[in-house]
This record gives sequence, C-alpha cells and structure tokens, in this order.
Amino acid sequence: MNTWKQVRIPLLAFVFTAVVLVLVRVILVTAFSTKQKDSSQFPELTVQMAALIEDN
Amino acid sequence: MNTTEKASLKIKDIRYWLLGIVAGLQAICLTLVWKADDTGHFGMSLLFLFAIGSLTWEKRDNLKFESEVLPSIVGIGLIGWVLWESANLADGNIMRLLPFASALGVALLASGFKGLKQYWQELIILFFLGAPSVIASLLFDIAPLTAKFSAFLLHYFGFDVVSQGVFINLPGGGIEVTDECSGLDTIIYTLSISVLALVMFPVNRAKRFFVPIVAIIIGFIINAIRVVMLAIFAASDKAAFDNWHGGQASYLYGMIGILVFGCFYWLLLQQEEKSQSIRSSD
Repeated sequence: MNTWKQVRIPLLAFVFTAVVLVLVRVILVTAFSTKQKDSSQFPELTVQMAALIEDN
Repeated sequence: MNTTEKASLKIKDIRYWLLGIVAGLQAICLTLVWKADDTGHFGMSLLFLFAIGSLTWEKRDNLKFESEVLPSIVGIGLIGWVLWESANLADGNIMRLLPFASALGVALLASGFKGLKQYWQELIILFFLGAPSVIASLLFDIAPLTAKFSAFLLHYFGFDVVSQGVFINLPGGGIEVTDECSGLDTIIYTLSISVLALVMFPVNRAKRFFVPIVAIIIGFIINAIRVVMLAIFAASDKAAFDNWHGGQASYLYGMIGILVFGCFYWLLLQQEEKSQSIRSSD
C-alpha cells in the first residue's frame, strides 16, 4: 500500500506531462492548419474562360 | 515556511496534479471542437464546463482522493485513449465523447470505483454534453417525422401543401428535410440544458421525469417552425431562404429553443417555491 502511495505522484506527473505534450500538439496544429481552398468555382471559371476565348 | 517549501508541498499534493490533468484534457477537447468549427457545441461545452467547475468548487473540501491500483489503470487507459484520439485530431462522434471519457478517467484516477459517486453530477452533465447526439445520430432518423409535422403545421396555417417522405412541396417550390435540418441538434441542445438545469437547480422528484421530455418536445417544435419558414421562403423568396438556411441562422433556433425551455423551467421553479411556502405556512 505504501509502495502504491509512493508511485502515485510520479504516475500523475507522467500523465500530466503526456497531457501537456498532446495539448501543445493540438494547439499548434489548430493554429497553423491551412484550410483547403474552395475549388468549387474552378469548373465555372474554365467554362467562362472557354466562352471568353470563343467570343474573341 | 518559505516559497520553496510551499512549492514542494504543492508538488506532493495530488489535487494539483489532478487539477492540471483535468484542465489540460478539457483544454484539448475545447481546442478540437474549435478546430472542427462547431460553434454551437463549443458554446455548450464552455457553459457545461463552467457549471462543472462551479459544482466541483463547492464540494472541493469534502472530496476523497483515494484510489486503488485497478481503477487507476482503467483511468490511465481512458486518458490514454483520449490522448491518442486527440493526437490524431479526432472529429465527429469521437470528438463529442472525449470530454466524458476524460472526466471518467480522471475521476477513476482520483477516487477509484467507490469514489465515483462523488462526481455523479459532473459525469451526468458531461455525458449529456456529447453522448445523446452520438447515440441519436447512430440510431434515429427523425427527418421524416420533422417533415410530416412541418407539413401539418403548413396545412394548419392554410397553405396548399403536399408532403412525401422528407419532401415538402408548396405551389411555388419545395424543400427536402435532410439530416442536418431534422432538428436533432436543437433537440439535443435543449435536452442537455434540461439535464444541466435538473442537476444544478433540482425540482420535485415527480416533475424530474417530465422535464427532459418537455425539452425534447420544445426542441422538436422550434425546429419544425424553422422548417415551415424555410418551406415558405423556398416557395416565395429564394434570397431569404439562402439567408435563413444553415450556418449561423440554425444556431439562432437552438438559442430560441433554449430560451423557451429556460422560461418553462423558471416557471416550474417559481411554482415549486410557491408550493413549498404554502406547505411551510400550513
């Protein structure tokens, strides 16, 4: 029982360190994530360009 | 006692370690919700965490922190799963389960199986923050029911409506009630708020059962009114339909649902107070 009490604080410190490491990773990924650009307009753009070329 | 001795005492106190772990885990969960761009759930998470913080602060001196080896291993396992999923940037249903799993893990680590009942209020609140939406999304599809009820409301208001499955057609146009429009989010918001209200401001035992049912009905009706408005806009004013469909507008209906439920619960508490004062004067 005494051994468990002695082990408990280092165990909690280990879990705390793991939590902090994952928190830093999640914050960094969230802060520097680049959202994929919206490409839904591109098909229309090519159609518009083709129409422009045809007009000229 | 100098500053070094005070710091050494704090390091030996497991409460500070547990506080650091639980704060870190909830910060991870909030960051993931923020990353998922789920504004409604982010607001609800903040509200629920404040409520849990307040409940825990009130009983901080009476909590017992005695855990055995087995519950600690189970708790570390749960925390490990939360950290693994967080490191892989979980979203969707798993993201919604993480706050409850992490709180359960820390509770087991702190007080073991026997001490879990100390945290029953916090665990129930966190369970209802995410689990109902996961369970409902896996088991129920209320879109046909929402479409049917909205069509009934339109018929009642005098519109010439034709309803078929999830489609509602009016003479000028129609809409399809998809999963996102079914109102599950509004219902879950009002249901979780009802549980939060029941835990923080308890009412008579006989009324406790009806409060979540009323919350579900309020959420369903508010969303049906939204679908009615969208159907009318789709048939008459496409610009208004685009403005009121999806995005921030859908949160407005969730807020209206919560507001209506808040009024209902406030009246219930008033009634309770009155009956108590009558009983005490007798």
